[in-house]
Amino acid sequence: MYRRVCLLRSEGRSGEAQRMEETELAAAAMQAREASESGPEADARLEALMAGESERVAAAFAFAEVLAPMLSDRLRALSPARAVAGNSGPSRPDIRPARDARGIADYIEEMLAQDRAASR
Amino acid sequence: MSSLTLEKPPAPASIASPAATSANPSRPAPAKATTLLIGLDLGTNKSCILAGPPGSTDITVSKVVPSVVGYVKDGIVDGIITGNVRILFGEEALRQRLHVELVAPLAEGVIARPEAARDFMEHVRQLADPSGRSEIRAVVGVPANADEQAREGIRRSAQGIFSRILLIPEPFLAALGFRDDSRVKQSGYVDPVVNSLFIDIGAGTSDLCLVQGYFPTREDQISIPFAGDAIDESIYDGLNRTYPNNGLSRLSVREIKEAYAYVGPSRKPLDVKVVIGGKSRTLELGDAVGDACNALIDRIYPALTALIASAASDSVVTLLQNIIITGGGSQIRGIDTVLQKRLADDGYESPKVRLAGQDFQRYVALGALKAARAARENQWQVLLD
Repeated sequence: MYRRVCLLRSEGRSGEAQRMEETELAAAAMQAREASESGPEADARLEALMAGESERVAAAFAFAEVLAPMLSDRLRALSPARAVAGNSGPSRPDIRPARDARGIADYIEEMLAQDRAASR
Repeated sequence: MSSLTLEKPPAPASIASPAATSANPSRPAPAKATTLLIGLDLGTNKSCILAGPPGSTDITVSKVVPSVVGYVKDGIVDGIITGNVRILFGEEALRQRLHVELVAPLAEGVIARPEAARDFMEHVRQLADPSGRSEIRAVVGVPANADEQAREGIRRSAQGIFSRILLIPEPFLAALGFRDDSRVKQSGYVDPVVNSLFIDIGAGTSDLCLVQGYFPTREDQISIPFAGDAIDESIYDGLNRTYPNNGLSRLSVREIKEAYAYVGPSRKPLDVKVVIGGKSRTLELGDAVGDACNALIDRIYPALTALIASAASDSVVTLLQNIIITGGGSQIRGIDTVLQKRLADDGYESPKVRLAGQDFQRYVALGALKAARAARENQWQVLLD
C-alpha cells in the first residue's frame, strides 16, 4: 500500500497519495500496531518498511528513465524504414547529453548486449 | 482493502553476497571472505593493478609492474635468489635476468604464453590480496576488437585465481579512468565519456576508440598491431644497419626509446651515450629513433581520420576538441602537436589533441576499478574452478 503511495507521489498525484496515506494506510498501520506486542518495535519496523518501499520506487523510476531511451533506440534500429534504407550495420545510439542518468553499469550492459549479438 | 503485513525489510543487496568459494584449493578457506575488486590493465610490457573494496572509492593497492615472469634456471646456487624461490616477477625478475629465463606472458596485447600468464595472474592476486583470503573480482582491460580467442585466453589464465571477471576494451576504460567524476556535473566540464576520441598507445597495440556516450561498438574501435614494441624493433634494425655488431640488447633499445622517442622533423644530431663491451660510446640515433616513431604516426593517422569520419556530423566539432592520447606512447615527444598539426593541415576544424598526463599508466586500471565497483551482480562472469 505504501508503494502505491510512493508511486502516486512520483507521478505527481500528491493529493491522491496524501488521501490514501491518511485513510487506508493509516488504518492498516493502526491494525498492525495493535496486533504487535511492542508498539515501538512495530513503529520501527513500519518505518523501515516504508523507507525500503520509497527507495524501491525511486530506483524503479530511475531505471525506467534509463531503459526507455535504450528501448526506443533498439526499436528504431529494428524499424521497417531502416531495413528499407538498407542499413544493415549495427545501430549507433544518439549521443547523450553530459548529465544523462546513465551509469557505468548501463555501459557495461550495452557492451554485453553487443557481445551477445556478435556471438549469435 | 488489503491487509498490511509487517515484515523485516530485506537486507540491501551486497556485492559481497556470493558464496565465498576459495578459488585455489591450496589457499586456506576463510570463514567469511570479503570481496576485493581489482582493476587490471594487463599490458604487454607493463601491467597496472589497482584494488579496493566494493562500495567505496578507496584504492588499497596501486602498482605498476613489468609484465614479465622469470623462471629460475637450474643449478643456481642456494642463496643467490632471495628465499630460493623458483619464480620471480616484474622488477625482481628483470634484476635477476642472468639467473632466470624471462618470459613475457603477452605479445601484441594478447596472451601468448598461457602458463606464464597464469603465474603472473597469481602474482597479481598476491599483490592485491597478500592474505589470500578475499574473494577477488577483476575487471580486465582487453585491446579494442580483441577476438573471442584472446578473451578466452585471459579467462583461462584467471580461472581458479579470480572468482569473477569482466573483460572491457581498454580505450573505453581509459576514458572512464580519465574522467574526473567530481566534475561530471559541472557545466563547463567536457566529459570524455560523452564525446571524445581516445588513442591508447601501448606496447603491443595502438587502440583508437570513439567514446560518445554509449558503449563503443566494434565499428567505433580500431586496434593497430603497431606500437611500442614495433618501434623498439624498428630502432633495433636501424641501429644494426648504422652500427653493425653494436651488441645492444632489445631491453637497452627500449630504454633508449623511452628516453629519446620523438616524432616530427628529424632531430639530428641525437647523440646517445651507451656502454658497449664495457666501453662508453656515443651513437647518433636521430634518424633511427625518428623514423621508427614517425612510422607510428603514419599508422595511427588514417585510423584517426576514419573514426572521425564515422562520427555523427553534429558531434564532430566537439569531438575534434577532445582527442586524447594515453598509454606509454603518449610519452613520445611531440606526438600531440604532430597529430594536431596534421589534422589542421588536412582542413579539420580547430583540432585539439592532448596528452592524458602523468597518470597515463593508470587510467585503464582506474577505469577498470570504477567499472568493477559499478558492475551489477548479473554482469560478472563466474570463473568456475
